[in-house]
Amino acid sequence: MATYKDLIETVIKREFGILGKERMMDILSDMKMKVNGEGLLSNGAYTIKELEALVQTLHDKYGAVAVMGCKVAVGRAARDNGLDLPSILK
Amino acid sequence: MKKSDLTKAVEIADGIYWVGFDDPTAGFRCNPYILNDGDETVFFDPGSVPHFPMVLEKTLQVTTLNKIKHVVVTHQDPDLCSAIPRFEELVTGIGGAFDICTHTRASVLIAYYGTISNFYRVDANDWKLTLKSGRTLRFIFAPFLHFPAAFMTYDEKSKILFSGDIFGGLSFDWSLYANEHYAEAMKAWHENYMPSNHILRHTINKLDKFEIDMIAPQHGSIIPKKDVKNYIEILKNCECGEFYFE
Repeated sequence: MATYKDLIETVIKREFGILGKERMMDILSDMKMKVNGEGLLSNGAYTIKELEALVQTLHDKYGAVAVMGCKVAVGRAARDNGLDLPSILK
Repeated sequence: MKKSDLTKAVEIADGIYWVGFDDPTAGFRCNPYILNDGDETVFFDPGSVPHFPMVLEKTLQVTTLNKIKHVVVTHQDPDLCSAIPRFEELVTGIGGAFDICTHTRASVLIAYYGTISNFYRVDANDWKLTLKSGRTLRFIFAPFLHFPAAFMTYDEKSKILFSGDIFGGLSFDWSLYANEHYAEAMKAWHENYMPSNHILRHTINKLDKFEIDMIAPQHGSIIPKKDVKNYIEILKNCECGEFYFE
């Protein structure tokens, strides 16, 4: 059963390919999200709010293409696991 | 892979060049290619109006306008062919001419850009184009990827697959040749622009009978020979958009 942590990790992994690892790690660092080199988050409480904040930051910094790049993969996982999505990903 | 000077045309194989625009702010990159064969030049997906000046500059580094005889257009989208009338103006201005190689279904739409060139309809010409030297370009039908009459081009001599939108990627972290994270960029592209795995797999399976030394997509990065099989397998398993969650 996927959680919001899994959805956020899906965003991170996908954006390693789109924005590049360095840019993505900078964004995560600015947001105080701790990840390892594989893009896996350290343990913690992750909710729809953290997911929304991350994707909104991607949009603000890089525009629609950065959001498009992760939207389908995250949306599919959310649907399959009965998780609600922030409006930016709907 | 040797780092290329992207301010110039880049030779990716003998007589074959990338002539695109390296825009570091864009996540949506476009890749026009030139193939020179004797005194014939084939232009693949020549690009958009905004990119025309940069593409023209690089084109003139590797050929002359009067040599452009064929413009292969995988479908009608503006990012890959809205500049055709600009090229026509220059080429016809010096007495030259080229044909636009595309599918009949695309040709009726491409005409709305105001093109004046004759169409070479790939579906009416046995899915191939033979150049004056005898070199053959094979066209591989790729229905609904994403245009209903999309196709790819396989150059029998270089064994390069000019794949159009297929094998494309979304990437701000762009490099001319696919980097270690390109699979994610490629999945992102196909999830957004390709309808379903069923449809994608139908066409990708056709590639099994071709010996492919390089894949040159119209978006994203070039896939070298050592990675071709891996990326083909990735696409065979890519879920694509498939009704976008409804």
